Order: sequence, then structure tokens, then C-alpha cells
Amino acid sequence: MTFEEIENLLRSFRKIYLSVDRDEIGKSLADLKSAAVAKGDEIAAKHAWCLESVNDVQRAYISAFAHAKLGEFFDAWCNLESAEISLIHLRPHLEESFAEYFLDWIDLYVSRYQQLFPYRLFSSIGVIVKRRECSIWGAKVGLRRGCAHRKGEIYSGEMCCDIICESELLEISMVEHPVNKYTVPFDAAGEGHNDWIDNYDYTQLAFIIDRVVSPFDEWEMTFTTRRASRDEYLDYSESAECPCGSKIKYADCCSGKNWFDVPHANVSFRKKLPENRPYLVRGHGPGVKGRLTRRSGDNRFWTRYCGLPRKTQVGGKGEYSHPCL
Amino acid sequence: MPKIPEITISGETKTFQYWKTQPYITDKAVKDAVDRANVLIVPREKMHNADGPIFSSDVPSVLEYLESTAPKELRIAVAVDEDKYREAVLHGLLLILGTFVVTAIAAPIVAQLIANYIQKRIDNSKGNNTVRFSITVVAPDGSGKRLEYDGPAEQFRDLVIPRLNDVAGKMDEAGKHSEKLKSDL
Repeated sequence: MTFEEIENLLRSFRKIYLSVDRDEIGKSLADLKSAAVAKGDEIAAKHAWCLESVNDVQRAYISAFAHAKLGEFFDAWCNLESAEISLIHLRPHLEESFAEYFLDWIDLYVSRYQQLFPYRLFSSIGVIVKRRECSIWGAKVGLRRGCAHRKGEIYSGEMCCDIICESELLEISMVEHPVNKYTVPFDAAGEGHNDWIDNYDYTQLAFIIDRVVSPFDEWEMTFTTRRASRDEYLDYSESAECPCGSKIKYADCCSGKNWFDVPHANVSFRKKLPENRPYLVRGHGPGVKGRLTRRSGDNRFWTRYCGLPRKTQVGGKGEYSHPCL
Repeated sequence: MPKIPEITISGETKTFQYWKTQPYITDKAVKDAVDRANVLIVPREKMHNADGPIFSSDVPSVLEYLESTAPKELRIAVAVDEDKYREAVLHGLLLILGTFVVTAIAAPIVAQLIANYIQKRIDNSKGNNTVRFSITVVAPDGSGKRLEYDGPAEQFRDLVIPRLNDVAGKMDEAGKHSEKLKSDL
């Protein structure tokens, strides 16, 4: 395949995402890059790297969607993270063509899907770096860069980065905002087992993924609060965290109030509505209903769901607000 | 939950004189640069069980930015020999800018440059950045005050610059006054 043929395939991502052979594209790009490097053509080699990254991002996004559909949520998470990292590396080199390859769209939906996951804490290592080398020439990198290569720039079709050659472990911490999000903690399967158990509650993600057909179905979620009555929480433990999200005990917070605000999420799906049915009310799962509404300034119809519980806890069983419809 | 910004200001005895005499500065060129400096980037002397000098992993990038944008009146140095330089890489989304020791007159310019650097980093990243920054302002009479900031990157400019300008302004005046008294005696 030529550069032009590959560009056309990657631009048609949305139409052909199920049939395109990404391994074939990857192999062709590797050949084109080798040829460019052999000729000393830095521009063509960099172009090959950019298209390789586009191919990787598109593959990761589709793969994330497929894993989520199969209920393999952690695999889906890792693919979203892979797409996010590749997008960060790619953006400075392909900013103007982002939309052509659906990368703006993927960037938006990677964030939207990520916010549905229940992961809130991540393990994180801290190290003392004693020796770093430039990945291009292997020169030692110190306080002042020891070589002419700039981190993140593309040389001979490869991105320059630092390789940590010698380090010392300083700490392992739990953090809310890690640089890499792969490091999700799971429960151990038990003594003598090397396996792990996924005890996270994926209610939000499952809700959305059950209602979208393709990775290009559009939806959005907004987080808000709603008034809840004390009667809805008659069976709620007084010693549990207050449903209002204050992180203090229910008994010491809202237990004595007749009404209080609880975290709440609304989700809208973009769906085309038949002309003769401007409004439609349907049931969608236990206790949750949706309806199609026209939003101001938007000619398309959105299915709006209310009452989707918002998860804020790490694992375990959470207490949810009740559907408000 | 967004982090609540914290600013603390306290007295500090580790000023230029202290850092100049550290055993990890032996190279003549580094010694000369540290002697001339009015902006000095200094290490942590201990981190958990590891002994210093240990710098933040953001220091090389901050240094490069300062050296390429600072006016020539700022004489910037890093308090370590090149071969003793080690850095801590923490896996959180933290912007740990390190610890600066600056003269009172240079402090407002340094704060402005650091705010510009942070803005550049914010523009290239996806939210939730937390900044940790520490600066010791040294008055003309050699006394020091330390300002520490731990909070959202977006609020650094509005919260730190006015406080630092205030501290530096007072110290510059008080220091000059004390210097004059000494010379009159």
C-alpha cells in the first residue's frame, strides 16, 4: 500500500472500521518507514510514524469498545488509556489533521467513556533516577540535555524519549490522578492464588454500553444533584458514608433531614426520531426510563435518561440515588 | 474533589550562604555559577529513606525554560555538580517545580516566569494538575523567608504572585534599611 492508500483508509475509519486490516496497514507503514529512513527522507519517515500512531489510536478505540461490549471492562479501560497516551504523543505532530482522521472525536469519547469507570484510586511508583539515556542515540541525559534530540520529537521515524537505565524504588503510593492509568488495584483472589478478582461496580458503563450499537453512537452524561427524601433511605446504614457525598457518616450528616441533595447523573443519547413521532417514552431497565426530546439550538433528537446512579466509591457495594422519573 | 490551594510563609535560614557550602558542589564552574547566582535551584536533602541531593524531575524542563526566557539580569544556577545530579520521578500527575532561592529583587520576575511556565504546561495537558513550589526570598541583609504553594496549577498565578511580591517588597525594603544601619554604625 502507498501513503495515499493508507491515508484514505484511515480517513474512512468510520465507514470501514469493521473490515479494515490494521495489521496490513501497520506492516505497509513499517515498510514505507524503512524505505524512507534508508533514503534519509526524514519527512516521509515522520509521516509514516504519524500514520502508525493514527492506526494505533483507531485500533485501541475500537478494541476498547469491543471489550466493553463483551463485559471485559478492565481490558476496555487499558485500550482507552493506550488511545489517550498515543493521542498526547501524536497531537503536536498532526494537530491540523486531527479531525480528518476522527482523532478529535476519539479524544472526546475516550474521556467520556473513561468517566464511566468506577476506578478512583491508582497505585503509583516513585523512583530516584540515577541514569537516563536518549532513546535515539543512547547519550546520557542529565540536568542539561546531553544531546541535540528533543523529547517528543520524531527522528528517523521514531519518537525521542528518555530511557531510565538506573533507578532506585522510592515509594509505592495510591493516587487519584496518575500519569498512566493502567495501575488499577484489584482484590487478590486469596492466599496461594496469583489471580485477582474484579469487585468494581460498572453500573454506569454497563448502562451506556448496553444502549449504544456502534462505537460512533453519540451520547453525553452530565453530573448534577437531585433532592432526595429521607424515606428513600429508610434501610440505609447510619454508619455508612452519607449519600450526599460529604464522606462523613450518614448519622452525622443528613440522616435527620427530611430532604437532602444527592449526586445524580443524566445521560442523553443522540438518536434520529421518525418524523411522525416527535416524543417517545420508553422503559429502559428496572426503574429507569428515557424519552426523546429536542434540545434548543439542536435539530437532532436526544434520548434523555434520568436517574442513572452516580458511582463515587471504589469497589464494594454503593448506595445509589433512586430514579427520578 | 479539586484540591484546596495551600500557601504557607515562614522564616528560613537556608539561604545562599548555606547552599554554597554543600559538599555536592565541588566543580569549579558550578561553584562560580552558584556564587554569582541570584536565582538558585536547590535540591531536597532527604526524601523518605534516600539521602540527597535529590531534585524534582521537572527541574531540567524548568531550567531550560528559565534560561531561554529570563532577562539577562537573572543569573540562574543549580546547586549540584552535573555528575551528582539525581532526580525523583513520582508517578502522580504532579508538577513539582522544586525549590528556588532568590534575591528579593529577583523574586517577582521569577514568580512571573514560573507562572508562564505552568501555563504552558497546563495548555499541553488534560486538567487536574497540581503544583508544588517552594521559594526562599533572601533580603539584602541575608535573612530569608520561605513561601510554599501546594494547589491547583490554574490558581498559581492569582494566588502566588501577589503574595510573593508582597513578601519580596517588604524584605527588600527592610533589608536595605538594615544594611544602611550597619554601614552607618
